[in-house]
Amino acid sequence: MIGIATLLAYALLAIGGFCAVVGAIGLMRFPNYFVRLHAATVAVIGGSVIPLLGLAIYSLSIPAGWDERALYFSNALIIAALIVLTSPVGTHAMARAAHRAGVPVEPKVCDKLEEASR
Amino acid sequence: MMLTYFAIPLVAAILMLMYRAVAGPTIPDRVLAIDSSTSLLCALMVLFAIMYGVYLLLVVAVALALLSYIGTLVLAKYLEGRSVGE
Repeated sequence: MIGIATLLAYALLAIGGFCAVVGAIGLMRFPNYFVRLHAATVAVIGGSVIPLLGLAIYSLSIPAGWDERALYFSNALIIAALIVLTSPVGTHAMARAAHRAGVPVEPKVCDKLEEASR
Repeated sequence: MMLTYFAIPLVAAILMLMYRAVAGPTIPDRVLAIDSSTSLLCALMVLFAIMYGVYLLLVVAVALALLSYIGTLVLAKYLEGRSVGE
């Protein structure tokens, strides 16, 4: 008999695996760096934070002592919070540095940062 | 065990990101691919820790999440005053 919490954890893990593969395909196939940043957000937030939340729910129902389950639960939540807080900051800094270093925006439609910094 | 099947898409995504890290035309592409694969590796490490009951891997995952953030910021500051040859 499979509980409702385990089923929810499996659903979150499946969504996370799907988002990870979709984000990785986008990072392989997209044309330039600033479009690839978009796919990398899908890969990080969808593919890493959502499975961590699912693992936090899953770890409450494993056959172990309550202290070990609490360890898994709290650590999964802490890592998810760390990734949510730090990934946008790193991505933003990297995008700004890449634009300033002159990474080409190849199929260019609109570049407001270049017009503003001219 | 059911968790094994959920490790397969994460490993496949990390392999595809490694392709981008090797073949990326510019340096920010490589940094981005390695940063994303580090986040995915954190989730994979927590999954393996729960699957095999090795709770020391959780400490490694926390350290890896913090270290990838610091590495990305340092490389961004390094790239800011420098033009990428293309």
